[in-house]
Amino acid sequence: MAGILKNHSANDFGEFLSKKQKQWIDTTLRWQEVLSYDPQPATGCSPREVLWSKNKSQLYHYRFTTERKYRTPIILIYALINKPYVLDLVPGFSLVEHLVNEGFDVYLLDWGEFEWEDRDLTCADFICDYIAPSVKKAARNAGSKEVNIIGYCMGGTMTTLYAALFEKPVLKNLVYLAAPIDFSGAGTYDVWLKAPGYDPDRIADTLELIPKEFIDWGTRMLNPLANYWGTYTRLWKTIEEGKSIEFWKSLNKWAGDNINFPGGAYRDWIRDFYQGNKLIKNQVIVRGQRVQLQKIRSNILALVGLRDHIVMPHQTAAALSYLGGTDKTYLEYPVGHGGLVLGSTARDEVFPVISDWLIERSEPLEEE
Amino acid sequence: MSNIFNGEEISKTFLNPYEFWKRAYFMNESSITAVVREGVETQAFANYIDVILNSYLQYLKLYTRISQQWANYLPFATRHDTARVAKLVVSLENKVDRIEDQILDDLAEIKEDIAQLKVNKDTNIVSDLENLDKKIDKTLNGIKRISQKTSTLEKTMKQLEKKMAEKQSD
Repeated sequence: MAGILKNHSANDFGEFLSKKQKQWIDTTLRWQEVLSYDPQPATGCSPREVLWSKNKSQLYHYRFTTERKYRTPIILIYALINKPYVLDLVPGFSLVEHLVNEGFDVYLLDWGEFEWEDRDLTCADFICDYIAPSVKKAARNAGSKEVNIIGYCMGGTMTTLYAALFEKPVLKNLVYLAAPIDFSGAGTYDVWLKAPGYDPDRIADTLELIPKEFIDWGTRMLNPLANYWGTYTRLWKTIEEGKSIEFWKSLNKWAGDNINFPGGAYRDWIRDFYQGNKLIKNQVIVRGQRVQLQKIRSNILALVGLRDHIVMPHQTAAALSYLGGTDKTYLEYPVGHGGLVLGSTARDEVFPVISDWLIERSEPLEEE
Repeated sequence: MSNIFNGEEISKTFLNPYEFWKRAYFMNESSITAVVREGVETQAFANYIDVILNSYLQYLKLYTRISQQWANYLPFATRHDTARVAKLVVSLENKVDRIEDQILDDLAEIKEDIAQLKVNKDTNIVSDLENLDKKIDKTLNGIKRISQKTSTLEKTMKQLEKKMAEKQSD
């Protein structure tokens, strides 16, 4: 240090610091601009049409950008937390786009944004009145007696309930993306949701429609430093280094785009699944019917993120032990919960694995 | 400004406070995260949060009860009233959806039946034609046999005529 000061004047050094300070001020101003009023990036851009709608939910059918090669359609079922456009985030980083480009007939069930009138909706309602008709309509539209379903996170769990209860159309292939089946050892959720003072009935009775902020807080607090501080610091660093912030903006848009959670479903989800772990015990009852996991005979592909702190890998891996059927594949990736559908690992490794696995097991479309 | 004052060189000397702050945060992020996560994963944290949550729920329950009682006296529709109307709309939508589904199912069944009938009809026509063909063949064969017999008869008659003519001339 002494050498530097010896060889260069204090004036030079001051000039450097002043230049650097200006850069930091500009960076910070831009950072503040991005966070406050920068326009939101376009997401969910794959061309589509609404095939069916009910209440706020819509079933999208994606238009073919290439020749359709497989008769068996793919239906994407997403969780009741945040919005499903994460599966079609931006061109180049979209599972939907990838599947359509591979020649699949792709459908996605968007739950919509739940409001006060939806507060009584239960898990059973979602299975019987939303997922079941969606699957039926997709199969009818595709002209197929079989379907493939990709269930992400809670969407995978709900798909499991559906698969155990509905025989037609035949569920040929089931892909789990970080979907919990066994709710024991659920990490931080295990501590929070099984604490003696945590009563889902009290919460659902009082709040009725669980506010999106409540759900968001619960998810962000799993990793508070990264979610409340790290993500914004990372944006600041990206701007300072002059790199593109478009992907960050898309991701941040999705992360902050939460939806209210119907109280009825919240009660079921916490009490029967997290607290009771009833799914693997075959104790879940949906409209009088018992959900028996061994009844599911479809082929299973279970994908997990090793750094996932929302759904632990063993929670998804349980599908291989408890579900019926013989064709079961389990794969791990060094990513977190979102890393299976977001980012370069998803695009370069996860998406091709899903499509290749489905191609091997889907009925090709023969010219009539 | 001399080359020695580029960002990298300055950072090495720790004279650049901005670079130092940036590096310090990202170098320590994972360890701080680990500590924070360890903290939020404890039973004590969960209990603490539940105390706050339950107090809030208690307050909210009381507030909701009072505000609902008060709202009942107002000449305006409450959110419960609006929600009731919305639920009616959704249930109506459900009914229409079920009817549409039934119609589509029935249509699909009818289409299948028609296709089956067509197949049956086509199969019948083919077998009828085959039968007709066989009958025509039989008839043709009969005609051939008749024509052969006729020509034999003609020959016999001609021979008889010839013989009769010979007898008459004798």
